[in-house]
Amino acid sequence: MFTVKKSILFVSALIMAVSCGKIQSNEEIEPNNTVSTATIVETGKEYTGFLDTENDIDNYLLKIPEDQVIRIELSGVKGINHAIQVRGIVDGSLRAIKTVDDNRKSSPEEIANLFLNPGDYIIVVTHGIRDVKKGNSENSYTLRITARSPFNEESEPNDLPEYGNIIGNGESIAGYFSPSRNMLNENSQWPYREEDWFSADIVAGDDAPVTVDLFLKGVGGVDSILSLYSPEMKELAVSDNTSAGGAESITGFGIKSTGRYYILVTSKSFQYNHREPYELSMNLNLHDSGSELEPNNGFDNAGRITGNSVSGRINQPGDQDFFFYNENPGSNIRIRLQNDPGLDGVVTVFGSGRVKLLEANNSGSGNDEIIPAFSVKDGVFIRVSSVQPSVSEMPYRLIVEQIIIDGKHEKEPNNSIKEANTLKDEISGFTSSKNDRDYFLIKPEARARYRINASAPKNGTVRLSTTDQMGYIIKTKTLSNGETISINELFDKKGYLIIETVTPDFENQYNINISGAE
Amino acid sequence: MRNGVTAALLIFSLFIFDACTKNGKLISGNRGKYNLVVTLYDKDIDDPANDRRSYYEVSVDKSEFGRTTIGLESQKKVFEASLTPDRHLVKVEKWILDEFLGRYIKLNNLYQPKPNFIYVNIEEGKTSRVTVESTKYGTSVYKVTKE
Repeated sequence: MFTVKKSILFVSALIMAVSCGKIQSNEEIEPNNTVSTATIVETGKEYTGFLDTENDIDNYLLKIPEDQVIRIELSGVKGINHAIQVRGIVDGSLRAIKTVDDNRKSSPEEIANLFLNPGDYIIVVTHGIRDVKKGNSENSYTLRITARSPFNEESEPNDLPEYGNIIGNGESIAGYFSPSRNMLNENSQWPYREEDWFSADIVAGDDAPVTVDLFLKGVGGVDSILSLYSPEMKELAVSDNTSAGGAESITGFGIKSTGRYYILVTSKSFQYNHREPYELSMNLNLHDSGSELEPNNGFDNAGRITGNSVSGRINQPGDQDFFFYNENPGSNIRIRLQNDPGLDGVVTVFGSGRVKLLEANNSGSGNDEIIPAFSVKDGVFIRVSSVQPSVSEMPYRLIVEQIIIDGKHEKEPNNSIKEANTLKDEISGFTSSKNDRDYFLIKPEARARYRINASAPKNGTVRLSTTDQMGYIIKTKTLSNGETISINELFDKKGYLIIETVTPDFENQYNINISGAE
Repeated sequence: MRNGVTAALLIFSLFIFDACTKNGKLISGNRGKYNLVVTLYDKDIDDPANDRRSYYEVSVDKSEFGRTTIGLESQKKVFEASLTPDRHLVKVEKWILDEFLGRYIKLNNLYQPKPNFIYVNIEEGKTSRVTVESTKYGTSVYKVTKE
């Protein structure tokens, strides 16, 4: 019996000793308003404290023996907008290396992965900057600091390009959209935005371009943005295509000069996720001349088509890819855009003077767009774009093939009276788009009657109209599927023939010939 | 009679050959060879706003034959043809420009020339000239002269 009582007393005493010791060591020790009076804390423990007054500042001293990634969690205090600041020795002086403040009252603060080298750090619990500072001596906060070994992840703070974590070809790196705000970010355009910067050393040249692919795996609740910057910190590409939780990517972006490039991962509207890491990966590839080389969003950086085809992708909403073709000046070419099943692509042709000449937007998603025939004089620009904003990357293939046309052929664009082709005896043409209108000018020396013979494209339908001198329609006939018709018309020194497409046939042409009539 | 028809066809063929050799089309220099000339205009247009661009479709012997030149209603519009000597039925149908549609449309029957036909005797070696004066109500006066 005595033995039992003795055991109970021993256990009780042990519990009291342990619990009393824990309480003592896990409370802030006021005054701790200065660095020299900071309460010593350890990782893996919780500490309680009070922001008693509007001027109260609680300093905690954290000793880090080896490289560690720490998570700091500060519970909310009713009615108080508080903040965390982590200070460390930088260049011989104690400086803030991270400030965490979500600018809200009563809410907790957290940073998921602050990378710390061995050394002493001061963790400051203080009032936030937004609201009126006031004390709360009734409700305590809890400060929890946990540590772990770093894995393949960002090293916070990497809030500036010069502190960007290096990512290599074929590598992946994790990170957190944490904290919600970086109060040390004084960028006037994006103040307080939490930014994670990465850098990549890329070797490339004009004659040996490489393409870079960046993928950012999304996390719940965060609408992320992925950006690529040049060595001169010029924004090269941005991916902001998906909503919260969605992935972002920059693919096939062409790099033609060696240097250190920068990658920015950030979120919209201070959205955060302290628990789920994102993953950024990068791949570099030698550029294939048969592929587009982004950026090619304008005439000035149009990619040159040297073969018969080029493959590309509509990378984000509004993306447009420009190409320049000048392989056989004077020849006729056919342009075919093979769309990915999800892509409703548009192909537009511009003259070397950058004037829009033709556009094909005839079929829906996944179907080819064709410009059946076009004469290349001194080169053409070809633009590929999308009708609808694409939410993901949509590949396509642009094929340019030379075609031989016998006899006289229309010269596009001839879609208006001003652009009408002169017709003297015969001409052929294509229904270049679903709304194509081809104008032909007939200009006898005096009043004359003509017999007009026309045949429809083999698998298409067109309307043939004759007009007066001003282009007003006098007579219209519809002909389909290779049908041939003949009509007489009087032309008083000038008039037009108009071929309107009803059902396009991009493979077969229509034919017209005119001769004098009785 | 049969010989006459053959001769007429031969002359007609020569005419066509002659026309086609000149750049493959008929030109105004042939106009003197026509033996029917129909001239139509409106005589009571008193407001330029109502003076529409127009022309007349002309059928001969119930076959579509061609149309006149195009001009304002107040202007003379001319149809020329070379017909075999015979009595021919010539009908006219007025078309006006609808600028909104960008095309010529047939004028409502209410306002078509009345009458819209005339029988013309084409004689060998002579040119029949028909002048049609219409009003905005469609009433028309036909005058035929022979030269």
